[in-house]
Amino acid sequence: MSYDSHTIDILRNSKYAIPVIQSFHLFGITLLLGSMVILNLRLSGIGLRQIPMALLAKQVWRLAIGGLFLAMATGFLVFLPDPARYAANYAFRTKMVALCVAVGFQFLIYRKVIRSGAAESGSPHNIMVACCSLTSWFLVGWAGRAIAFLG
Amino acid sequence: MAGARKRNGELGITGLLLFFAQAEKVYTNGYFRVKMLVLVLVGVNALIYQLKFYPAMAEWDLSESVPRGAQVIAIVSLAFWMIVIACGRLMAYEL
Repeated sequence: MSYDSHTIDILRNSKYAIPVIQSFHLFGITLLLGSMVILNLRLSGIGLRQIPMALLAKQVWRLAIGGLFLAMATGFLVFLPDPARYAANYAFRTKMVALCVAVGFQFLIYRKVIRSGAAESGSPHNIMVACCSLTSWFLVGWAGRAIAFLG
Repeated sequence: MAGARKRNGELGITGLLLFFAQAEKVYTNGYFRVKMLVLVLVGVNALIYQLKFYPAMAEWDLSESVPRGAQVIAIVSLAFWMIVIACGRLMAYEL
């Protein structure tokens, strides 16, 4: 896909293409962060205590990963027409690093924790995992918001 | 439901603060007006659910089929909130 590709030109020149794609980026983020809040409320034992974790984990996880894929696909489409501008942006670079950390934690550690039997209790270990999950994802979100403000 | 109220409360407070900071610029924005209108409609939609479907919820909650009207309210709610998100994003592009 060369820099002068016709598809990328459509993205660049259309007035509404990027805002619309960004809106879908936000839908994906909504699905992802909302799911993370629900899963972590349950994991830490703070809320939703009457719902068994095994039940919740299976169905909400799917929504979360769907949201993540939507966010990543649309994010890529926003980046594609103007890579130099984003590469030079400190907030964007922080976001990409934070994204790697968040996704790594999500798939390597978090996934195993919510599928284990120990996820039913609000033990200190689970509270720690929940905090790490929420912090890592909201860091990605805040860095993303900062992109527009750091030039 | 309690979690949703807390989230809506947070959104409302920060929205109010954002509005106070730039009221003149935002008040005339077409996307802002649509966003506010759709938020009112979201409230109406929720009210319809609370009055019509919530009282009987215990009956259909455990069965596999949700009443058709409640399904419509759910889809309308999702659509409305997506419109709110999109309008919020598009506000920056009208000037």
